[in-house]
Amino acid sequence: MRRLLPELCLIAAMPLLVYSVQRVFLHTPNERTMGTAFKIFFFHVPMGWLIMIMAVICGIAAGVQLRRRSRRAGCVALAASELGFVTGLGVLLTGPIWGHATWGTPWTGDARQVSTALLWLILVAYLLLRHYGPRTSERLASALAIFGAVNVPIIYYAVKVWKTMHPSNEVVGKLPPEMRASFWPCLLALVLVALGLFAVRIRQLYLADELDEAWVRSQDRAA
Amino acid sequence: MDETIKQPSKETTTPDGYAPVVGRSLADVEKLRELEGQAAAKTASDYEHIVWAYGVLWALFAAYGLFLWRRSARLRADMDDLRRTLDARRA
Repeated sequence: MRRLLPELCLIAAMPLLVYSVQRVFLHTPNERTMGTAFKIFFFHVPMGWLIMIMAVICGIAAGVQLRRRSRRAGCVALAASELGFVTGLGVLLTGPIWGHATWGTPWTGDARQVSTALLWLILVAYLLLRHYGPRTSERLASALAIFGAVNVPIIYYAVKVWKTMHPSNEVVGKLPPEMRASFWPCLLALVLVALGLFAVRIRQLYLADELDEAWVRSQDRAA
Repeated sequence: MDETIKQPSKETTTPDGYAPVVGRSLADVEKLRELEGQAAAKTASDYEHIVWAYGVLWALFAAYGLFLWRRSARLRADMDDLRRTLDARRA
């Protein structure tokens, strides 16, 4: 069952994605001030939540890797940072598209936009270090990942602490029932896709690690 | 603009069902069409943005899925190489 988890997540996500898109377009009323462009919200917000979740997972796994020298934790951190990179790019692209439609400008430079962009750049730096850095750079990479996780509460509270045009954190809770009924399937579909891809990537990284070890052992035996 | 649009009274409707439009000034109709045009333009622009946003999202996930698929193929090839090397050594 555990081995089939990624496939099950991805298979379950497919009909749910179709259902959520048709629900958003056919059964969800337009928001009064933002109009039709508000439909971007239903996938933009889950992507925003996903980058924060992935950054926290990456930070915790990197902390475990740093403390226990666990290679498996390193694999989890790398997979989480890759998915954080993808979801972060998604939120940083859909946000300005939505902003252009509603505010008339794609980028206002407000605290939430800047802090999210900063988190994404930290994830990019982490990925570059893990892929191209020397073996000794793993500790620096882990420290970066932990720094990224610390940035998550800053993103969350950015709209409370600083004056900003960005919608508040309570927007999901204040949605009318018919909009909320469309939001949860969208969130669940994206979470299932992300979880499926995350599990596939972790499995690949474990396998690559074991293959590396097997190659080294075979070379040692040959010598 | 007067928001109440007067409907034709029953007396003005001819037996064949023709009801002339009465009570709407040309200015009201023009204003109404202008507002309808603005709403249609805003909706069209919003849909353009939605198509871009959704397109970007699916393209990103598809690209990452493709990346994972290629990685899997490379790992499988690496595993076959290792198996072949070990078999050759055994032989």
